[in-house]
Parts: sequence; structure tokens; C-alpha cells
Amino acid sequence: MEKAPRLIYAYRRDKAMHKILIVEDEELLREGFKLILSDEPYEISFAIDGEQALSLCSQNKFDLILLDLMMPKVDGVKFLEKYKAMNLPATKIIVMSNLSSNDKCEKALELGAHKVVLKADMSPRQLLSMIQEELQK
Amino acid sequence: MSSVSTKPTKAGPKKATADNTIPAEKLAAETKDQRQWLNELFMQAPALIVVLKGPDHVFELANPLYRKLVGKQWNIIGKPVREALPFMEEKFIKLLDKVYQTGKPFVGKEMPAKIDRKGNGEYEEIYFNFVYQPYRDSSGQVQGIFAHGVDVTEQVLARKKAEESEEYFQASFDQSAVGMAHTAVDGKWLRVNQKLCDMLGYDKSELLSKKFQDFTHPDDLAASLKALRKLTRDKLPTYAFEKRYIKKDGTTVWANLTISTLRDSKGKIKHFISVIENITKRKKAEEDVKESEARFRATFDQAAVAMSIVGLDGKWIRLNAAYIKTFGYSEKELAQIDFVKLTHPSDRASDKQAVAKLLKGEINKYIKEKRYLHKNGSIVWGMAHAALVKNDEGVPQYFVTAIQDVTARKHMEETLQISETRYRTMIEQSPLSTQILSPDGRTLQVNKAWEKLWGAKLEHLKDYNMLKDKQLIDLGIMPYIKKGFKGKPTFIPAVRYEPNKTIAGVNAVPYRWVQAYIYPVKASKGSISEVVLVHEDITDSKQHEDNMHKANDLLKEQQKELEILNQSKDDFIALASHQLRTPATAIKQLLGLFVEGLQPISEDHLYIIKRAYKSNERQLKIVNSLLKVAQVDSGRIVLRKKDTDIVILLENIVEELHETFAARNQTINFPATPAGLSVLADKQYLHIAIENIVGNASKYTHKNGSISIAVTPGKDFVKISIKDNGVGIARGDIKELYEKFRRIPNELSEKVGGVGLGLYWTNKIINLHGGSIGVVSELGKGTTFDIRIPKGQGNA
Repeated sequence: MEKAPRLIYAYRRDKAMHKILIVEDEELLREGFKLILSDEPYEISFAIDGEQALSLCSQNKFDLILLDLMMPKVDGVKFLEKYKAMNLPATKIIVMSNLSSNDKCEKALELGAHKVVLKADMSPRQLLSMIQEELQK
Repeated sequence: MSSVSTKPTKAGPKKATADNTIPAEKLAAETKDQRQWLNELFMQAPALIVVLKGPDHVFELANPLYRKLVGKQWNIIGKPVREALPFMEEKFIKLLDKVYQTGKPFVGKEMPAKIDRKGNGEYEEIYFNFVYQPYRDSSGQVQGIFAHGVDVTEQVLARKKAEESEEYFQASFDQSAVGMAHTAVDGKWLRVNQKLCDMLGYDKSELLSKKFQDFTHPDDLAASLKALRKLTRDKLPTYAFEKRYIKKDGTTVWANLTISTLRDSKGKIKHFISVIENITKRKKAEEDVKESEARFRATFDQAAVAMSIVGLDGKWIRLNAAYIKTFGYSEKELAQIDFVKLTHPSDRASDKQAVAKLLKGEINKYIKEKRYLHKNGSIVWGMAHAALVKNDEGVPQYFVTAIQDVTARKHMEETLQISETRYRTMIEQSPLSTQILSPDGRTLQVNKAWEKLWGAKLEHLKDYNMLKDKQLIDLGIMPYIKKGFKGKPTFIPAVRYEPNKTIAGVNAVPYRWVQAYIYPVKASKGSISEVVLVHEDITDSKQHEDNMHKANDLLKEQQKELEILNQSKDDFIALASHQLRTPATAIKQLLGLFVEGLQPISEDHLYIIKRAYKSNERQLKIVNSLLKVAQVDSGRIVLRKKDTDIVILLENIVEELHETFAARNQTINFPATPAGLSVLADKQYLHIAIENIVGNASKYTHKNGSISIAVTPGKDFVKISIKDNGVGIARGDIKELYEKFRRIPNELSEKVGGVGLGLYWTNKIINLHGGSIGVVSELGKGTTFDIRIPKGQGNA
């Protein structure tokens, strides 16, 4: 679904807009996130793994990061470790994963993740409301 | 001694005095008569008469006696002396010369002279007394010599003989080896010899000034006087007795005194002759003998060993107290018994042989440990020494026997023997392999169990020395063995020993696992006499242990594999959760855009999309359930238990399920309960667990039914009761309620669907909380689940 012609990608780039980084290796999910968030007033950036995410983080200040855990190269937990180690400005990080492994979720929370949600539990509206909620807090 | 008296004439060659002149005729006649007379005299005189004339002493006249004396063969008349008698000694001629020259007569007394009477050179010695008298002419001039003499040879020789005898006596008296004395009748020493002086320590003068009584030991004085009486009164020729003298230094001398008497012609005693022999040494020896005899008797009588002197006839001559004690018979009783009867019948034959050998002189003594019979019939073991005593001529006199009672020792030996045998038997028959070694490491004995254990015999160990066994060194147990050999009982830890490596010719047993105990046996002095080694064959248990080890290893391996499996299960769960969920998540999100109205779509299409969305939801739910169960089963769930307000938790659940209840028009009863009752729980897990139960209550309750939730605080637990008036559960099904994939069939189960993992997982989670679930149900009437969760610490 490289082009997804029937789906409209609309990015409204206001200066006041919240900047959100979505770290997700699965292209289909990135596509979904784009569609769900296309009409929302956020500036969305995507990273396909932790390495790319760290690089983006070093150049931008994000208001919210939605972080997948299971990724090639630098996974979510490693990202959190390095993020912490790089002394980057505090950002709200929500781990969105399909992993059931307690260990990794726990680890993520320990490393400063704000919360952990199961991706599979999130319908588009649930996702939107969660983002909205978190950005307002 | 008579001598011829001759008319003395004046000596000297002087002239005759005129006073002596006689008328010639008268003188001539007288002379003639005189001559006749003289001639007669010459001829018959018992004396030797010779007239020598002139300076050469020419024989003018020699009477027949003289002629006879010198030998008639000599024709001496008219010849000078020297010529007439050639054997005439010069001394006589010189004497004659002297008398002739001086005119002085010479008187010879007992003059020895040698004469060769037969002229054959056989000289004869004679002694004679003689007078050489010169005769003168009228002028006084010496004309010749008138000699006359007497042959005194016999007298001289007799006297000489007497003198010699006296000398001899004197010499023997003085030089006698024994003391000699002449004693006067009153006891005075008259004559003593040197020996006696030496014996008594006085010199001669001291002894001669005293009487024998002064030197006699007071105790022997009476005996001495008695001896003298015997000799004097009883006229015994000699009398001998023993007496003591006191020496000058005060010590005593024992003497054997033999006295004889010397009487004069009238029989009167002139003096006593005493021969005094010093017998002090002999006396001393005798005393010694007496003493040793006494000592011997004392020894004999008091000896601890039974001693006896037995006659050749087998009768006792003498025996001691120990003898009586040893055999229990009195001396009187023994006198009635033959010596042989005391010996045990079994030993009599050998005794008899020994006695025969003794008598034949084949052996000097006989030593034997033998049995005797005590009066009470018991056996007395005796070490017997018997010897045959012979007299100087070699004739057997009697036997001397000494018997040492060794019964106690014998009993001890027997006891020892028994104990030794018992000990050997025990070792021999012991089921424990036992090896007895010398302190230097050689094997002295092995038992049957040993032979069985190693498949070897003692002879295989001929050249084996345990202390040099390289295998034992290599096995590292030599220090233990040496410790044992040094005297300390030691346990030797288990080793795997291969006998064929060290014991030549042994191949029966490839190896044995043994542990051993080493016990040094100490002699009375503390030195080690032998070493006992006891093996314990633990081959079987060792193999068992080996098997155990193997099994254990296997288990460990399996555990490892399981761990790996578990790990991979974890990995699987992670992977599954990710890989199964992710595509479904994408569907959910993409379809959700339409279902949730975020993207416009026609109603017809929406219907289809919704069906697909719902199916995807169901799939996600099943995946979630599976993953949850897998998580529980892996035991990897770690509860983060905190004080949790159970009322709030239940309110949240009720609120979440509100739509579910509403959809079925079910009444939910949850009486307002004051908040603040906490349980110790992991909020998330307990939430899901209770939600499952409440959800089930709704599912298995008909429409319009009712569900009640109640919270009851207990002592340690909080009870949460979820009651419905639903379909209920059959009694038989209750126990299967919590099994995996178990779905209880009932009127609503088909409709409800599900995979049968809910209660399984819930039960596990509740158990993980340390809580419990109880069920009370009646088919068609309803079910009550009672969940007990430990109380929180924050509760009052």
C-alpha cells in the first residue's frame, strides 16, 4: 500500500501545532497512523526505527512520541536508554506495542515512558482521543 | 781314746845331760831287753806303731797293725816314707818334716787319710788319731820320728753319720712345709720351726719364751690339754686333733695338730713333738660348703618352684613346700605314691624314655613342659627340669627335679589360642574383604571375601607391597594408608582400583570401587605388629551413583532444554503477540477509519467493512486470550502488588461493562459500598480477572436477568461475591471449570462463543495473588463466584 491513492494525506503545518514523532517499523501501521491523524492539527514525523528516531530527536523537539518496542536495529527499549543518555529535553513518550512481554513494558516505564498501551486495543478514535488527552495534560 | 804314752824327752837338738848317763853294759843289756820288750810291744800293740828314721823318714819299724792298715803288699821297711807308701799324702810328709825339723811332737786327731791298700788306685779313707814324736840321740839331736796311732775310722764315720742325720733333721725341721715344735711337758716351746713362726706371726724368740697355751684359742684349750693327757696318761703314741691358734695380729688360725712323744730310755717323756698343719683354708672351704649347703637347703625349701630329690627307685628323698603346694598332697601322702604316678598318663611314656636316657648318660638333663595330676584330679602344667646326680665314680645316685607350675600360663596360652583362632575364623569368614599386612607393607593374610572381591589369592601378593603400590599413589590415597600404618585408624575414601594393573597374574576382576578402613594392631609395647585393612565393595552403589549422576545430568539437560523451550516459548509469545497482532492492528486501524466514521463510506460498504472489522476484533481477542494464557503458563507473570481499593476497581469494571449489561437488559446490583477497603493486588491483572467473572456472569445469564456484586471484608481476605441468576453449572462440571480450553456446554454457550481460556487464566491470576475462587451453582438457578483476595495493609 505504498501510494494508498484513495487515502488523503493532509498535513496542516501550523506553527503552533504539536509535534508528534511516531516510531514504527511496520509500514502498514505507519500508513494507518497517517490516515487517522491526517485531519488533526499535529505536525507528524515518522521514524522507521529507533536509530532514525534518535536522529530526529536530536534535531527536533517533539511534544509527544509514540514508540513501538519491537523494531530492527535500535528497538524501543534501546531508544529509551539512548534518549535518556543523550540528555534530550523531556518529552512525553507513549509506548504503543503489540508485545505482551511484561518485561519490556516494565523496562520502558522504568526508562521514562509515560505509559504503555496495546496497539491492538486502539481503534482510530481511541488513538485520537488518547493523543488529544495526552497533549492536553 | 787311748794313746800310747811315751817317755817324754826334751825337745830340741841339745846334748843329753850328764845326769842321765847309765853304765854301758848295764845299758846294753837293758837296751837289749828293752828292745825285746818294745818289739813285743810293737808287735802286739793294738795301736799303730811306726819308727821313722832320718830326715827322709825311712821306715825303721812298723808293727803288723800298721802293715795291715796300709796294706801288707807294701814293703816299706828301710824305705823312706815317700818311696815306701807312694799314696802318702804330702800333708803327712810335711807334718813329719816339721816334727823332725822342729823337734816338737804333733798330735793328730781324727785325721783323714787316703790309703791305697791294694795298690790298685782304689783309695780308702780312714780316720785316725796319732802322735808324731821325735826321738833324739843322746846329744839331743833328732834322729827320727816315733809315730803311733789308733784307727778311729769307724767312730768317725759313725759320728759323721749321726751328725748328718742331725743336720738332716734340723733341715727338715726348719724347712718343713708344716709347722713343727718340740714342746716341754709343761707346754713350753723348746724348739719351733720357721713355718710355725710364719703361721702364728711371731718370730722364733717370741715363741720360745712362751708356752703353747699362750697361743691357743681359749675355746680349744681344753681339747689341747686333753690331747696331752691322752699322750701322757694313756700313753698313746700319737694324737691328732684340730684346734685354733690366735695369731699375733689377733686373727684365728685353724690347725691340724699331730702330737707324738719323745721318751728317754727309761720311758720318761722328754718332750712332745708337734706337727702343726695350717688348715685355715680348708676350714674356710668347709665352712663355705656348710654355708652353701645351708643356703641350698633354704633355697630348696623356700623355692617357688616345686623341687624334689628322687631316688632311683622313684621314691622321694626330699621335697620342698612348693612341691606339696603344687600337687596338693602332703609329704606323708606323697611318700606313699610313686613319683611316676604324679605324671599325667599321656606323658609317662616320654618320661620313661627320658629317664632311661639320663641313666645311660645319653643326656645330662631333661627339660619338658608336661602335665601332672593334682590330688584333686585337675591337670597341672609344669615346666619340668630333671637331672641325674652321680657320685665321683659316675654311679647314679638320685634325680633332682624342679617343676615350675605353668598351668596359669598354659591356660592363658590356651585362651589366647582360642581367641586367636576365633579372631582368625572371624576374619576368614567375615563378609568384609580383609587383608592383614605386616608393618612394612607385605600381605600376611587375606580372607575369603578378599579373594572373592579381587579374584585373587594370597600367593598373588607374594611380590606385592602395598606401601609401594603406584596405583594407590596415583589415586591419591597413599597418605591415608600411611597414616594407618603409622598407628592411626583411618578411613580411606572410595577409589576405583584395577587389580590387574598392580597384582601380577590377576585378571578376574577388571576394577572395583572400594572404600576401606585401616586398623593398626599394636603390640603391648606400642609398636605396630600388623595392619588390618578392611575393604568395602561399593562398586554397585557407585554404579548406582553413577547412574544417578547420569540421570541427574540428563535431568539437568532436560531442564536446560526446558529452559530453552521456556525461553523460546517466551520468545514465541513475544513474537506471536507482535506478529499476530500487528496485521490485525493494521486492519483494525484502517477499517476503524470507516467504522468510526473518520472516512466517508457508503452504507452498503460500511456494513461489509463493519463485518470485517468485527471479525478482526474477534481474532484479536482470541490472540489476546492465547497470549495471556501463554504468559500465565510460562510463569513469567510478575505481579506488582499494591494496596488497591477493591470498591473502586469493581466500580470501574461495572462501568466498563455497562454497555454489555444494557445490551441484555440485565440488572447490575452493586450496593453502594464505602470506598477504602483495599486488597493487596496488581490492579491491572485483578481488574481483568474480576472483569472476566463479571463478564461471564452477564454472558451466562438470560436477558433481563440480574447480577449482584458484594464485597465482604474478612479477617485476612476480602471476599468479592458475583452472583447471577443465570443458567448455572452442573455439579459435575464445576471441577472442570478452570481447565484450559474447557467450555461447559449449556443453553447459552453456543451463543456466547469463546475459546475456554477465561476462567483458566482468571483462576491462575487469583491464585498468583494468594487468593482463591469458590463456586456455588445450581443448574437453571444461577451461579455465585466468591473471590477471596488478601487484604491490603492499609486497612484498619
